[in-house]
Amino acid sequence: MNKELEHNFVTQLEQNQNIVHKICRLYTNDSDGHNDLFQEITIQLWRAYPKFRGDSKFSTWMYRVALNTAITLYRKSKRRVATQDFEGVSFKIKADEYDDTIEEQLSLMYDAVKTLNDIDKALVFLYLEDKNYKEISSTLGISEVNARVKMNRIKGRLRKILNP
Amino acid sequence: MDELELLKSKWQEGNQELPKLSYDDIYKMLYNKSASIVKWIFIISVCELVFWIVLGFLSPESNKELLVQIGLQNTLTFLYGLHYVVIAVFLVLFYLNQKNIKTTARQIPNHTTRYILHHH
Repeated sequence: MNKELEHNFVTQLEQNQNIVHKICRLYTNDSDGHNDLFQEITIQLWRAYPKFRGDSKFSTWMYRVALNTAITLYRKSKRRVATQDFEGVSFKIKADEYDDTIEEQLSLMYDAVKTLNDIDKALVFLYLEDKNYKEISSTLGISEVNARVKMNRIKGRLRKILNP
Repeated sequence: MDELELLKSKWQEGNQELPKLSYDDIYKMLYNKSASIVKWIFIISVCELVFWIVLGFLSPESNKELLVQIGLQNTLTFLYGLHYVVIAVFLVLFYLNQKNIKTTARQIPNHTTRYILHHH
């Protein structure tokens, strides 16, 4: 029975691993950090798995646990916040050096998203994953209205970062 | 917010280069926790051993006689007792630890067979 559980879990995580990789990429800045976070999320998912009853889709449940892990871990590490600030600086220099091609716009936007705080980042991530506000609010445990308000504020903040 | 919509549409296309982990890679992660416990118990036990060995070297025989002369015989006996307790605790921890490794080791070959059955 335990083996069955294990096999189901690993198979489903293998199929949905892109979700976790995208979160890792958003919350960390190098491959070591990426792997650490992936490992931590895997352990948290595995611990929570016996309680997963299949009321929601595996991926929906995964979004919740994985984002919570990323947010908790990110909060603990002040060092990572410092790295984020540094990235923000380097991207501003780049903005002066290059013309606005689509590719450039994309990476600037991505870098801007990376400078957001842990919760805002989770919100933008779910938005990019094309989740509606109802799904976003239930995943992050906030009200739908709150999610909309927050998202509007974030858009404003991003606009400010891109056009200082 | 055009740039965010642009990022969203590109994001949806899924053209990010993401690492791809195999079934086995993920499976191993489930047991990494126990590996780190093994590592810590090992480090602690090495520290314990080193501590007692160094202590033995630091106290010459004359020192021992002196301790007996100033009436520390009882303390000395107590320390010897403590020494044995530490070794006993060490052995118990090591035993529990070894049991842990054995469970992990037993699970992996079982899983490998199942993996082959499911994927080929």
